[in-house]
Amino acid sequence: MTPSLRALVLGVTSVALVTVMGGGLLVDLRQRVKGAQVRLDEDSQRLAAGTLPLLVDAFVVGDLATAEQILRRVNAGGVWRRVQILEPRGSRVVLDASPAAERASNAPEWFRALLTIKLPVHRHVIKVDPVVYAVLVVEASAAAVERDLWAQARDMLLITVVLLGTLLVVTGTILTRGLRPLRTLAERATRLGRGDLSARMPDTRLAELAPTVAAFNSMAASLEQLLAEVRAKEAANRRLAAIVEQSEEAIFTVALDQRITSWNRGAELLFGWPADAALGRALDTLFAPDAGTRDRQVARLLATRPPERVETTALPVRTPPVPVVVASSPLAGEDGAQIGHIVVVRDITARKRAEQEMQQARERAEEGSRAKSEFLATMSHELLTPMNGILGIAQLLDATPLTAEQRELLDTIERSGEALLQVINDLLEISRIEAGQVQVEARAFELRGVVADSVKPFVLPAQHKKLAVTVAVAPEAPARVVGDPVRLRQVLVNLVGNAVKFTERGEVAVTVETTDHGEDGVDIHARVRDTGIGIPADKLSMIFEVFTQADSSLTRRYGGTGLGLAITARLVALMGGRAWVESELGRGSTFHVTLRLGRA
Amino acid sequence: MAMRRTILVVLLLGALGTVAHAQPPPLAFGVLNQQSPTLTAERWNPILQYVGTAAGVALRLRMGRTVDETDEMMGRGELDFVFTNHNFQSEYERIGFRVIARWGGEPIRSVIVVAADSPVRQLKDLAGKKVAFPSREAFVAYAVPLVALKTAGVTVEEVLAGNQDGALAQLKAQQVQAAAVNSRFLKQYAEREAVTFRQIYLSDPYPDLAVIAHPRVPAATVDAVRKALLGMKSDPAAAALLERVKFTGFEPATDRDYDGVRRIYRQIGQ
Repeated sequence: MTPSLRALVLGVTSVALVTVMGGGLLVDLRQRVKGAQVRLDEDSQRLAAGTLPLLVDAFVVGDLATAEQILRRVNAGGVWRRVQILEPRGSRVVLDASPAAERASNAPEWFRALLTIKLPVHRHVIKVDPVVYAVLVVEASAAAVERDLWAQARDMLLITVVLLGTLLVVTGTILTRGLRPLRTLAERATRLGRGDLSARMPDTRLAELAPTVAAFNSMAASLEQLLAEVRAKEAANRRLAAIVEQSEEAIFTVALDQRITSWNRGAELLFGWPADAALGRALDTLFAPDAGTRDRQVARLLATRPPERVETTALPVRTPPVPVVVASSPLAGEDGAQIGHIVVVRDITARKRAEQEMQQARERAEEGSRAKSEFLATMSHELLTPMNGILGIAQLLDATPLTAEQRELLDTIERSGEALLQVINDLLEISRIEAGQVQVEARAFELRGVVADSVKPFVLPAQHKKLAVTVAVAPEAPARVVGDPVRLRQVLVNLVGNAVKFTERGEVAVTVETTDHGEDGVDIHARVRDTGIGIPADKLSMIFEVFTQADSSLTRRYGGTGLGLAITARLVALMGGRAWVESELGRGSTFHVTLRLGRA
Repeated sequence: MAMRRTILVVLLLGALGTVAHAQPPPLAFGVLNQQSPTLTAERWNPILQYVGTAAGVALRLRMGRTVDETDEMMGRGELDFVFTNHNFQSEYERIGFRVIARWGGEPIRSVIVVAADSPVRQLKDLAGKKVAFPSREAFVAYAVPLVALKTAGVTVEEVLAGNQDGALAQLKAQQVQAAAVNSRFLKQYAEREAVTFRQIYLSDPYPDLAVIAHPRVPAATVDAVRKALLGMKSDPAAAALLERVKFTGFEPATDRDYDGVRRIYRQIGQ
């Protein structure tokens, strides 16, 4: 049986109070008994002393009946329990209260037993000198004293019982109210235990219980939060497990002894082993050994720190070997210590096939391109030779007397021939570049001179179009640098020529700045800015492609092969630089070239 | 303590038993109720012890609760010796008591006193007033003053107080206008109580009470007792006793000394 705190406290309090109060009552009673004993003795003596003179008359005249009457009368208050007269003729018991009469004191027997009152017996000689008439023997009665003491004790007992009862009721009430929060706590704890994580304790004003209530609420809140986190993690884990399980890739784990400990559906599909057959198998039975050695790449992979990817060959149980890429990462346990490896195996058959096809295509393309370049180079040379012949003959004809009509026809032949020659030269140039036949030189040259030379051919055409052409080389730029001056000039010429060509009014500005001065070289940044027609934004990315102009109509309007910018970009790339353009349609363009040049 | 008390009681009772059984029964010595039994015993017990010892007989004080009872005891012959004068009443004359001594000192007189400031000056002023007497059995305190009042032609309202002290106590308490008492007791009372009364009547002198012997008492015993009584005043051994009880001693007396007393009794019909 579970002991009740309330019953325990009330029981202990009751026993303690009853003991203390009972002890107090007993001590008090003892004191009262002592006092009563003294009073009893005194009362008896006093009464006897007062009675004796009354008795003497009666004894002198021999009137014992009167003496007895007097004794009975004075003892009306019951001071004496027994009165005896001893005289020469014999003793005479005048008064002897029976035990029953004594009990008429109405004090219960147990109470009388507690008192142990010694009843004083006094003897008084009745005499008139020198004659002794009698001896009066009186024994005091305890009845009155017992009655008084019982009345007092009863009152005190009553008060004590009322006090005790009140105290117990008050204590019981306080305990009941005080324990109510504990019962609530038990109920809330039960609810909490059954999964109702919202169970909380109401606030209490009891200082002794407030910390417990706060601790319970804090614990419940922590549990709720913890469980929410656990559920979230469980959900995440389930999702992750589902992802892993349903993944097309083979994902499994091995223990530190490289025995398989988990096996997903992707692994089943790849290796053909069902999970129950795969679990416990050694890792090296899944993959082919390296050619020439019996080592397993995958086993080596697991030992590598940090793990790397390795391509190898998986050995499915029923199907031919499959090229795979294997990745692994350490598998850590709860305590962070490594307990195995996570191994992910991906079938790369398709990728391998694609790579192979791509390699073949690239090889075919490279072969075609090389053949095309060789063809173009060959064909351009073959074209150039007769073109030079035609132009040479035309110049010879120009030196002969000709009619005006013939001269006009000859001019047409020369312009067309030169245009064709330009086209052929450009084709040759791009072909040589793509065929890898263009070598970049590295020799010292005057930077400012090359820049100025690049602009010179266009000064006159610009003047015809009333365009301002400005050139500015930063003062901190070194005078001499090491590079390929011919290709640099070719690049700048192409850019300035384009700018003058596509600008109807405004200006063309060439600026060269240096951005980095190192020990072994200097970075230069050349800008060619014009106020020409600009380039649409969607064309900017293809402006440097071969045979591309922003607008095909431009070729017809402005002439040119459309190969200039492609050649420029490739030359810049050959020199280790980069070319790009910023443009706003109708407002002009800025071409940028950055190069690394050596110090002279 | 209890043991000691028990022994004391046993010894005391032993002594009483000795008195009761080892010796012949004491002779009864009656004393007229002039005072309370206790006061009477206080006076007479030492005297009787002395007299008994001197006479060689055991004497024990006997008296009734009242004068009448004592007189009845005397009349029934229960008393061997009596200190009284009631035997001179006619009803007791037949018994034949013998006078063997009388109370010493001045002769007694009847005295009627009033309060010191009382308007009563003479007996006739008491007509119809309350006058206290010890009892109708008293000689000088009733018979003598009653005769005087009758002679004066005065009738009073009699208030019987039981004894001499009682009559004077009534006067002191102003319950009565006058009290008739024995002159000897008046003097003792006035001294004891420190009170002053005014005397309006004083009778002729009468011999004080007599000690009489019952005729059955042997003559030798009577003589022995008489000798002891009369020898007290000259016995140094009794001096202290007499001083304590304020008594001068007994005097010789004869039956004829009380003829005046008989006469008074006869005048009032006793």
